[in-house]
Amino acid sequence: MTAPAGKSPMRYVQSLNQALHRLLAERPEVLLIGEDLLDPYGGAFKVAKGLSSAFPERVLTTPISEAGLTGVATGMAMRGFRPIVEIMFGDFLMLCADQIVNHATKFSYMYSEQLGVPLTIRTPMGGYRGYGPTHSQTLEAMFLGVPRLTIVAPSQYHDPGAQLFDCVTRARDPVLFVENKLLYPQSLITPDDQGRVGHFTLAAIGTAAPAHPTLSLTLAPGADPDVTLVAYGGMAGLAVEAAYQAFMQDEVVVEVLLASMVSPVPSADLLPSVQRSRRLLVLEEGVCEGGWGAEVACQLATAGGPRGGMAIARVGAKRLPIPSARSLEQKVLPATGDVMAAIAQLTREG
Amino acid sequence: MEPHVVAAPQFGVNDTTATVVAWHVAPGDDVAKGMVLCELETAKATFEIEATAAGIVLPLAEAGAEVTVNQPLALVGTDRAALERRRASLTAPVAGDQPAIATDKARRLSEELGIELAEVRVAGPIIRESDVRAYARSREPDPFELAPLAARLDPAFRRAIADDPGFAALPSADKVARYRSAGAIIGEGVKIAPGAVILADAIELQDEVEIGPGTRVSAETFAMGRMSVLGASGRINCRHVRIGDCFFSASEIIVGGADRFADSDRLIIGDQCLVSARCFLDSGHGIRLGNQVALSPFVKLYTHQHWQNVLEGYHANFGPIIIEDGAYVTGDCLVTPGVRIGAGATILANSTVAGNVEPYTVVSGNPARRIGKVERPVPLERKERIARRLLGQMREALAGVVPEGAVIYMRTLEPKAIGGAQVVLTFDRAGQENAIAEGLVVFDLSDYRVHGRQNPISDEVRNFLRRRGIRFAPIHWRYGG
Repeated sequence: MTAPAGKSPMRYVQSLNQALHRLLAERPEVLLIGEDLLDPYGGAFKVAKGLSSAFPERVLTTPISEAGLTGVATGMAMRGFRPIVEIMFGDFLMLCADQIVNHATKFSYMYSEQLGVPLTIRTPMGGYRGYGPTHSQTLEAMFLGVPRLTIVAPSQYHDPGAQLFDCVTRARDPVLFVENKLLYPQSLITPDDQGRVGHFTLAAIGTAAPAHPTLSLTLAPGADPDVTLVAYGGMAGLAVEAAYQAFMQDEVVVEVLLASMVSPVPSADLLPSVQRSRRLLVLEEGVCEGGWGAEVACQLATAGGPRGGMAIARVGAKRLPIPSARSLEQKVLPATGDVMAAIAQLTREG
Repeated sequence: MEPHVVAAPQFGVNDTTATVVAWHVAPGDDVAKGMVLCELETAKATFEIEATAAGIVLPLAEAGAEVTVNQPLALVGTDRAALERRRASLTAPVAGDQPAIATDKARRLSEELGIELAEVRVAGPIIRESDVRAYARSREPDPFELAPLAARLDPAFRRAIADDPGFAALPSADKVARYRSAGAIIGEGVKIAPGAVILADAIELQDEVEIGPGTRVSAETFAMGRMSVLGASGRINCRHVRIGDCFFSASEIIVGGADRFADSDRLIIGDQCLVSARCFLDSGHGIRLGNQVALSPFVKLYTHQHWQNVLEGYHANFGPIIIEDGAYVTGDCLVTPGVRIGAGATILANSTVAGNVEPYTVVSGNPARRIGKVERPVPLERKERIARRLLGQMREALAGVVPEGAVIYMRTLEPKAIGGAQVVLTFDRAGQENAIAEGLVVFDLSDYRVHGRQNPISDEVRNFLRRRGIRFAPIHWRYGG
């Protein structure tokens, strides 16, 4: 048994690629800056494929210089462009952290809102591919709480192209747009006209940010969930699979909430489900400790969580460097069994 | 005859769908049981689907169609109209037109209850355990239906009671003798024991029924099964009472309350039930206890709740109470109108049950909330461990009463290897006949039956096990429930 798969010919990488084509075609102020972007290579994960041929002057390939290219893009953004930066691996964001934290996100405020910094930084994150300790991490949690930085990470149940388009065209302050590596080749999953995805019922909750909705997936629509499972981006598949297994094996109703806005945490989207289930499980690919899950749990608990409190569990990576060997990597990163165990722990009687 | 549903089987570990390759029969064909109806193909294999009964066949899926596990493929039956009716009900679309799949729990329950999953209709895409249970209930006869008592009585004797002036003229002692000879059917207003009064239009008491002194029964129909006991000083005021075999009530129970003698007023109790001292059963809107149900002292079952004015914002509440097989309501609990307590459920002491209780759960509090569940089924290895431990406890408890080595546990029944034992506990069916032939008493723990000529030692064993909730058939008169 597998979790249901919808039918859509569009792949995650295609959706982003088409959005970029459209952005460059329709918006003269949009530029793409990064390493190895030119055709025929088209970027390490082929998101930029075809762009340099179609828009040779507006796709800028640079040497290995993450801090420099982010700084250049920040300057361009201050002068009326809407640049898109591609950082080849999310791990390399550390190199441009100074530009993001101390410059790009500060200038609007420092210059009394006389200018905006509409900068979108796209980057692939995530492991499970045997790329080792410095090319497999999920580091967006390091940027939580940076004022004026928005972090967006669509899953395969979202529309990544549309969300990227929205970020690039509407942002006033920088956006970190996280693309999970494993998602690139996957087909996007869209519900049928009755809101069904396989046996799941899917509904969008856009209370927090309509352009970056949280998606609710449940096998028992209308019923109070036993557990609210919050996840985003690359963890969507794992979350849905665990929800399916928990229901089919033990009839535990798990409502999966797939956020696409990572920061600020879309608490308004998550709260109603937790108030009904009184059990929160947060799943993230990054290290659990000091992670997104801690922030989600705390915000929900303090923002009017269920009366009488709620049970909280987190599943994430272990606090270890990610090994290259696949067999070891699997032990460090979250797996279905970890999620199932957390669900069982939360729903244990007594 | 109801049509037989031929459903798509579980294809394999990974395949949940298959394609109908071809039909070997046409609609309306006569088929024999075992005849190949159609072929299905999955990614890995092809399957032949055979008729599970003989009759007229009605295919439900087109050749080339994709089908899922458990999806009905064809109907087989003898009555064309019934086939068409059934087809209409089966092909009514579920939401999303997606064939329903079943959870593991639903599958297990459907196997346990002998229900075909394909027949369970659900609003959503997935059949849950509760859907199977609801379907099973919908097929159950009315739990409060009473077979006419008169049908069970000798018509000639009934006529004599009603019309024969000679009978009416008989002295009381003779009448009682006649009642007894006619099958222990006792007419209106006859005293059973000093202080006990039974008033009823029709009463049927079978062998070895005891009614305690001071008991008063007043009912339109009253039937009580074999080896049942009503405790002293009880009061039963109920229009229809039907009590099964081996019922045991302690003293001072009260049956009755508001709406007694309304048509809905009935008390139906299954076999081997226990109603402890000072229980109150408000039967006005119907109470039904299944088999092996126990109520501890001071349990109150209310089928009505009203006093304050509903026009002024208050509620009135009426409804039958159904307590299913094996449930146990412990001391001082109160059960409110309309509640159904599922099979095997446990209600802990002092609880107020204000909503339905799921089978095999443990609930407690006011209002009673689920605090646990019974893990079922118990695996055989665990049962064996428990049985061995019980045997150890039994030897200790019955030391001096039961000789050393007289009671043993045997995994495999080998009569030759029993030494001086007289009683064997086992889960093994094979070899039971030989063991019994050797003069042994065999307690079969797999289906709770006892075999062989019983003796004082087996009585002790039986009584010891009874006090652990293990009851054996045939029932022993001494131990009632």
